[in-house]
Amino acid sequence: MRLHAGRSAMALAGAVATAVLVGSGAGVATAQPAEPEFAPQSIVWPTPTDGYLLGGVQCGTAPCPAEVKASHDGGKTWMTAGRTHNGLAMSGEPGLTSLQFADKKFGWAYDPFLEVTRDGGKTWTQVPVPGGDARVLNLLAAPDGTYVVTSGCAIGTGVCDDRPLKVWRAPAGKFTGWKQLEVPVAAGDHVALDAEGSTVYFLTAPFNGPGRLSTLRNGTVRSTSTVTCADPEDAAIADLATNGPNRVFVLCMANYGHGHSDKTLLVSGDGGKTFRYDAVPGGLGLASQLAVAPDGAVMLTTVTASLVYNRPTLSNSWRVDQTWLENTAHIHDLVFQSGTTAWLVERDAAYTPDTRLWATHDAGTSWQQATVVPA
Amino acid sequence: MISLRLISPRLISPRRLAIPLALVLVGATTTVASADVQESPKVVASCDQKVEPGHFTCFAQRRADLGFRTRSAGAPTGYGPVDLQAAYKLPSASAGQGQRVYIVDAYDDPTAEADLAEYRKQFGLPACTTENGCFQKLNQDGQSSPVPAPSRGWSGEISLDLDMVSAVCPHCGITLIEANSASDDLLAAVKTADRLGAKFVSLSWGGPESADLAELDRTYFNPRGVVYAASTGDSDYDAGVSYPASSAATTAIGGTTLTKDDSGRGWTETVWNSFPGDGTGSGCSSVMTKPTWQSVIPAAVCPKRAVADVSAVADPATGVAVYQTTGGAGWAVYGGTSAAAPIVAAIYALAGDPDPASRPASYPYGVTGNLNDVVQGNNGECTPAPLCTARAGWDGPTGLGTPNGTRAVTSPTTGNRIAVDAPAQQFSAVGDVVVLRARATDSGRRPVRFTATDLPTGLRLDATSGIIYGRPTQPGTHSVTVTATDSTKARGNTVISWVVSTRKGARGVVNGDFEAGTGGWTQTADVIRTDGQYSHGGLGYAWLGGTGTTHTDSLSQRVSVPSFGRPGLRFALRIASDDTSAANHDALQLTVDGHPVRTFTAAQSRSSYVDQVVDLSPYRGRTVTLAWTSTEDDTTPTTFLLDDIAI
Repeated sequence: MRLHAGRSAMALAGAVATAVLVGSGAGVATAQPAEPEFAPQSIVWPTPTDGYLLGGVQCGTAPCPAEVKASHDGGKTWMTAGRTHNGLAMSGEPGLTSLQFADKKFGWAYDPFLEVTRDGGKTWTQVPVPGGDARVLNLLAAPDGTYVVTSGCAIGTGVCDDRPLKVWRAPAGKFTGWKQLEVPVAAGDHVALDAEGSTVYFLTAPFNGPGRLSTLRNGTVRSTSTVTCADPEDAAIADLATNGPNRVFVLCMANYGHGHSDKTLLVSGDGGKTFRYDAVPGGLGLASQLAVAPDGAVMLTTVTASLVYNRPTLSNSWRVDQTWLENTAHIHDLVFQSGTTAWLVERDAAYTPDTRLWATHDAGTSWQQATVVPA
Repeated sequence: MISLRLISPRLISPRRLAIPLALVLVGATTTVASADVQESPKVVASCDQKVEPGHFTCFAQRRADLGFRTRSAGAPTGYGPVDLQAAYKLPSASAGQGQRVYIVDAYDDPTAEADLAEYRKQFGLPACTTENGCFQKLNQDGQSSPVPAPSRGWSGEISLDLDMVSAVCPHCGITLIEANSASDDLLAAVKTADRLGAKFVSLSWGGPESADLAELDRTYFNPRGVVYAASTGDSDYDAGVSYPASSAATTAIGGTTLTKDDSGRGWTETVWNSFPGDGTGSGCSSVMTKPTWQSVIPAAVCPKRAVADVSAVADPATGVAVYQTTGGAGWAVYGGTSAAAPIVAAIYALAGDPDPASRPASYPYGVTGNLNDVVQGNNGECTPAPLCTARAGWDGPTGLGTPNGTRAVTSPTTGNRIAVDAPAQQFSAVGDVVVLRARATDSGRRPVRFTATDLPTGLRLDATSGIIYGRPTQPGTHSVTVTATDSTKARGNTVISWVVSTRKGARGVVNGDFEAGTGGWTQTADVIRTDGQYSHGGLGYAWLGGTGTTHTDSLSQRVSVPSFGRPGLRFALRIASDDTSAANHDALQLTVDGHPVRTFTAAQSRSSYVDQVVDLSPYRGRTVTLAWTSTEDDTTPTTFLLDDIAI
């Protein structure tokens, strides 16, 4: 079974992205010299037992070579699967930052470059960015195909002009035959996408204002709806997730600034046509990533204050544990492995060898630093 | 003593002001003694006052220095219904029956009805609920769902508006129309109010004038037979004229400082002007043509539409009590011209139907001497002075004055009055044959034509007979407005809360499987869910508890127990808690007419739903209230899920 929940992809623009980059930059300034070793950067669980890590070796030097490790025992042990052609990318630099697998064989390393594996990460093939564009911003390895958001703006130029972004799809298991989709994405839009079976939810939103949610099947837009955050006059959409048929979750924040925001979780049972608004208590942190387990457990990360808010399954009560992080480092790649086990990565490996892998086995009640134990 | 406040666009903090004495004097509305300048109450504007072109802002201000008071903290401060009715000599106890005031605001206030209930309960006003047909909440298309996104700022505005209409006209029905945004959507909602047959509409918002106002007026406002009470704004004369207060169709409502005293009236009013930039709006439109009834205002003062027409209390320092839990935490004191607009709209409603051929904005100009003329104070410095300085007769800040009874806002001519009668509630199941007749009584004995909005899918209305017929095809909760109009354009309407249950959900209860949303049930906040995450079947279910705090949730419905056989209450229940020991005292109690019949505890936690059966034989033939109430303490959360309730 592929765990789709939490395996969502997201691009941030504007101030939120700036906040992330500032966080990463702080990592550069404060990084301590360390032994050359594997530094996790991105983690994915295509099945509860099969996991993959993209990370760097001898990081702290530029460029930082990238390696992929695989676990087939639920994360107890990890073995080196292979190496990508490109190293890890710093912000605005060439290379790779993220990893996704559609199943335990077929996966992608991306952003801003694009590479594919069909043998569980042993060998990697460089793939031209679809349409001749300059970079990949988002990628979703969905069961029915791979969805990619690209930009024609050269790496490092940010939003270079008003040209819209492009959305592409390749059939499942293929890395050719890209077709551009009829999903409009403005140059500065946030993009978040996730899949439930063969249904892909594709959310685009300007930095401030309602988002547009497109529901796709086999690359065809089946319906669109508007997603409006609470306190919409000063709100931004941060992320999207799905955990079951027609069940869509959207993370919003409003009144943000000075490291605080009013976060709201939007919950839909009708594919995003209507939403219930669940306020997330606690203002600390700017909303970043959202992950929802199949049984309804919810976690969300924040930046500027590095926190993980969680709401366990069958609970109306939100919790946040801020004691286990240094509170300034960038946390990312929040992903559920199972209903109660989730992982995330602290810091960015392109900047420091001292990234950390964290895991929770009780849906976020407690977190333990995870070690990449060799098989 | 002078009360000074410094206002920034949204947040106003108390400061000692370094304002030249001249400015202090401009802002002073009572005895001026510069040596007594004191730190003044902190006020928060509910909405961002910086308005982009094409957008509007609300004009509510909350006393931040007083904070929010919980229900248990005693009587609320701020003027209540008795004060307002006394200050304006209103026949609130006897008038307003059959009238309905429409409030148009932006975004959703999810606790609007619950907060309104608390306000009315506190002041002994009759309940105004969806169930009894008094309260109605609609989106800008006139449908009960989907509602717009919630907004904490606009929720303060909505609470203020609902409470002010209740205070002035406790026997009026209230329809809240929530626009999707504070832009043209608000105007679309105004048009929807007209389509629903509204006669009294409160508009506590506005924005700067633009060149296309005449076109907006034509598109969105009905100039005859509909009262539109529009706030003039909270940023003094210098801010310029606000639209739609400057519309030719609206009655522009300015703001006053209302103080109890020992005068014959018992009250004194002056222009509300806390300090420069924070006071009632006024001025002369640069766009809108002067309406004929404003001929009393010399062209030398204003050659076009002059604002305001009438006024009412708006100063937060002499503000009104408001109950608000979305974006708030209980009782607060509010001001702003947002308080004044619903007050005046509701006074129009007390005065009775406007003649459909008349222009209600003209009424106050037709009969002089029925308003409290406000002659003190100003809201800035200007030339000509009457646009910003109170004086005898008309002036910009307060118009012709404040209401003194209802005569000044009573239609001088009488048109036909139409009353529409239909049940306040209807319960159907998908596939049921429905035949329901709405009856209209026209005082002019003219035939009427019926229209309806938000009818359940599958039902139709015969425009001539008023018969609603058909078979509903989808479960859902609707708020149907049936409107009757005659050839003179007189109109009347009524509201039907219509719940269509699934076949399965209609077994002895209404919407027992919650697939129709919240219809049929009385619940505490957010008990009924429709996301399908933890349902027993379908999408709907009820979730009580699960908070891990000291908390109570409830769900109830009044049902008729069959008088034959051995009636039983059946429902699916799932209990989930990490602490199933006897130390966990969280519980769910089922009561019938308040009598406990079954208690469930965390020890009965299961990983799935368990069917429950309760014998209702002792209640055969009776109509009883079934209620499920969860109680939790602040230890381990315990969740109680209910679904598929049937008798």
